[in-house]
Amino acid sequence: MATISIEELHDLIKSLSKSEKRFFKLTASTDSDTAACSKLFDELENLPSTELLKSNKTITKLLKTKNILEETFDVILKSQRTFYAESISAYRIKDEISNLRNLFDKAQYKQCRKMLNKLKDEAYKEESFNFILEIISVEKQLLDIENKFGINFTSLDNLIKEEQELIDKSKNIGELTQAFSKVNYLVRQNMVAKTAKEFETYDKFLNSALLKNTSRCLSKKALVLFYHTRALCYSKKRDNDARKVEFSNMIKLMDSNPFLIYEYPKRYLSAINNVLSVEIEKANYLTAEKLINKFIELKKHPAFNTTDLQLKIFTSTTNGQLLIYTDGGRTDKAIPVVNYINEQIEIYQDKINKEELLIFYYNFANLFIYAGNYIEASKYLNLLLNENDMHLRQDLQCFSRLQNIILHFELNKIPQLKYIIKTAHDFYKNQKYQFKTEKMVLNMFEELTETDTPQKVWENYLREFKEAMKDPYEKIANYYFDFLAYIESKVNGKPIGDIIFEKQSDNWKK
Amino acid sequence: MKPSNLLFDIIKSLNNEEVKYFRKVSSLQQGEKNYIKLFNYISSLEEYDEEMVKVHFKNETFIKHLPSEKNQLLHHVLKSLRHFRIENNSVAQINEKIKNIQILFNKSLYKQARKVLNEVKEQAYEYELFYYILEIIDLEKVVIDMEAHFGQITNITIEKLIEEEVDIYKKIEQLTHFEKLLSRLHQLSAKLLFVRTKEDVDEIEKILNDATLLNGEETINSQKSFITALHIKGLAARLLNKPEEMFDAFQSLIFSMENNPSLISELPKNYVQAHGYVVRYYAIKRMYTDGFKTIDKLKALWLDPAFKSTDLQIAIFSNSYINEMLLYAYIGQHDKAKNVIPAVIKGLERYEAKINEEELLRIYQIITMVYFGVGEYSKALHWVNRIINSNYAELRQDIIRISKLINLIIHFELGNEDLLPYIYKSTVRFVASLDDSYKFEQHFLEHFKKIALSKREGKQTQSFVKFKEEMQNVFKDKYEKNALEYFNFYAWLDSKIHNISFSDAIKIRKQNMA
Repeated sequence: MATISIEELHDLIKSLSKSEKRFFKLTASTDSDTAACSKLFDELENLPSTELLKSNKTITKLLKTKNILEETFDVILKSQRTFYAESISAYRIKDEISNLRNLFDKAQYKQCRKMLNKLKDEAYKEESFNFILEIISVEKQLLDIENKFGINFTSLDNLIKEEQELIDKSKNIGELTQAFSKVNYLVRQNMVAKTAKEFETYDKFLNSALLKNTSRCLSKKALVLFYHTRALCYSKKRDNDARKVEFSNMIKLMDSNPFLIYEYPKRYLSAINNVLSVEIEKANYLTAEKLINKFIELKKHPAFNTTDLQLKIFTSTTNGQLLIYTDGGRTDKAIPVVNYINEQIEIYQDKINKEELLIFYYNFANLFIYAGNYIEASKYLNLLLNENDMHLRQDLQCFSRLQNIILHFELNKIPQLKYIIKTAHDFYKNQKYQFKTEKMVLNMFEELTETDTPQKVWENYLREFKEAMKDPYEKIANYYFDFLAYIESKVNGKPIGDIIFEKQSDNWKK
Repeated sequence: MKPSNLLFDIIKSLNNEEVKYFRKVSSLQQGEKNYIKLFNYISSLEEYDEEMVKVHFKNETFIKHLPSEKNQLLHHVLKSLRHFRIENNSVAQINEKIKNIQILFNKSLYKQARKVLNEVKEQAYEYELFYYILEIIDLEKVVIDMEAHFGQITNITIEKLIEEEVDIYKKIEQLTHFEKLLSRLHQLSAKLLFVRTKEDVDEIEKILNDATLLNGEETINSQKSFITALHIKGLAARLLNKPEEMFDAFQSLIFSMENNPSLISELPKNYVQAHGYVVRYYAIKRMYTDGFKTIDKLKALWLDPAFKSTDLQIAIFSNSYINEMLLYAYIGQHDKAKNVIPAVIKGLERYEAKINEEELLRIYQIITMVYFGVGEYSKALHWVNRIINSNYAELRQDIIRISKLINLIIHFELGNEDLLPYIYKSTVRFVASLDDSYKFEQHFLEHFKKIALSKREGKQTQSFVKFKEEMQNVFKDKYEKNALEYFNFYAWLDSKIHNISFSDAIKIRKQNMA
């Protein structure tokens, strides 16, 4: 039995829905052995996390019972297993396999065979290869008995052949998972390919025997991984059209084989999110807004009825809304989204992963800069900069430094600004520039801190930025922050929000 | 099979503990339950008769939708059996814990999910539950992805997990390979006690020379494969009639499993069967005390919860009782062997439909021999007829063939002189129809005719002596000699020559050989 801390048990209790809690209480009430567990559950249920370490007489007394934490944890999980017994496909198959074993043990061989064949068919339809392997292990025992009774449904040779085919299919999925993981690792390390060498890396993947075409995919599951990996490569090659094609193929495949959505719900959401991102990057805000609304509908889909997937839908859709409203110049619509996100962060607490939080904070900072609310922007930027995990979203870590410089400039904190520019230079010594734009921004603010004629500096840099933005790669930097609009606002003496609103108004028609 | 038959069979197959558990679980639901009423009534039936059920419940509303009530009852019984299994079987518990990983993960409780995952994975490795490990690895792939998102440092990478997965596939492949070899040997052993033809010997040699098997511990990648490899070696030795090698292999198998009890729960049948072979060795080597001790050990397994399944209960039943009777018969204590028969008949009543035909033939044959040994020829005739009248074209032809000869001897002992000529002719036709008849069969028939069908004169003792001499000559051939494993022809001839009982003849022969 794994050791469970009171905090971990408390987290589990807090994660239960009302109906789950009700079900736990109902099942616990029928077993007198679990009375102490039930009592501890009641005590912890209403206790906020902050009160957990404070002394509570009843809890202290209950904790004296040996293994009470572990037992309560187990009893809750047991009630959860029963609660979800019918609704989770994998549980149902597992229970059916258990029925097979029971029928076999009870020497009900005919019925065992009948159920086995039916179950195997179902497992094949859902490509549950590991379960089929397990079913075959029961079938081998059954076959041995059947042969002795002179019944020949199949031969052991056929079963072994079948088993080998399943292993090959599983290995094929393993190979594709590995390929996906490698691409994903590269993606996490370095968000976008810039140099020819970096492009080459992704081209190598795309042209590898495994990923060149679908001929090496031995199952539909493999096909999902195939599309996903290719889509990721195109995404990093900034080929949005090919990226959309691959993700759309993946969605089409999964929509026509719903078991794949249940098998890979996160990948499905990721594909939807990527198609949305393509529309956002293409500034098709109207289409993007419609997609977001459809995306929100997925919350009701049973395949996504888990906390982590609900969270994923929440983060993807709210980030999408933030982006279209911020980049599309509709900051008024974005502010309620921020409030909603903050409320949800409070509810979900540490269940939202660091990466998602970083993205939220980064987008919040952008929004408030565009809205001219620099104090609020600073608040979120500090939250982002205080995250010290250098492995996570290096791109955001770079651009947040530039946001910080802008904010200090806007808040007229010039002495600090000089120091920040210096530290940013130091930061880039160990961190190569992803974009020329980044260096240009640093140089621009360096000049601005020392010049008496800032207007001239702004005008010079507007020209330089316009030139730089002719390079499609550099344009990406402008997705992180609309530097061009920012400099234009300075040159024209208009708020950045107004500049963006005007620039983006046509994009709300497509 | 109709669902109603399954329902009846399942209900009747429940043991007391399982019934008690079913009732306990059902009592958790409040109110009157139709399925409980149905359960109680069906349990009381000796044979399922739907009409009787309908009549019994004619005043109940639920009888109008009996099929759905039966389905509900079946669902509850299966569910209760699953839960009973979870409470009593370590492997089923591991299976349940795998569900916990998914539950915790779905609730975004990643730390807790990792804790449970590590614990369950360790247990799954201990039991070498390869399919469960694959399932756990699948879940772990998702867990490490989330751990990375949360910045939790772990040295497990997707590459390592896939390597681990490939390693498990290798283990499954090797185990399957061994299972295939073992299955081939089982096919041979279902036909014969010992192989005789060159093709069969070559096939066994080929199996024994299998590269993976030959390299032994260097290449064997799991304990399950190791056990299966020992089983292959033991069974091959048995078929080749190499008792020492058979004993070494099965004894090692037992020791290895006892040193790693998780293997016993995973491969219980191998464990039971190995004991059966070990007893056989003790019988051959006249190590009777060891033989009976091993039988007692086997019988003790009967009460072990790990061996509660009907399939295993049957394996224990046949391996313990057959060998117990065999051991007594070997030493000529047929009277003691006869005392075992009531328990065997009780077992047959309970399990006969579930016992495979090969085992049934072995049981019928040993009962025949026991009754023959105590001189109860009519009873012996009853059991030998069950063998002869069986219609198993492929199975244990060795037993069927020898039984035809024993049948003649029984009729001879019963003095059925009117019938004997007909049975003799039929047996001769049967032997003549065989492509691979044994010399001893032909010699036996030739001499049996002389002593049983000719006019019985005073010189009959000399005929038996001659008969024995002929048989001794034939049995010089190692393959022909195998016939003595089924019936002690020498003892029977001695009993006739010296006018003593068959069991006394065996005892004296054993003493002289000691």
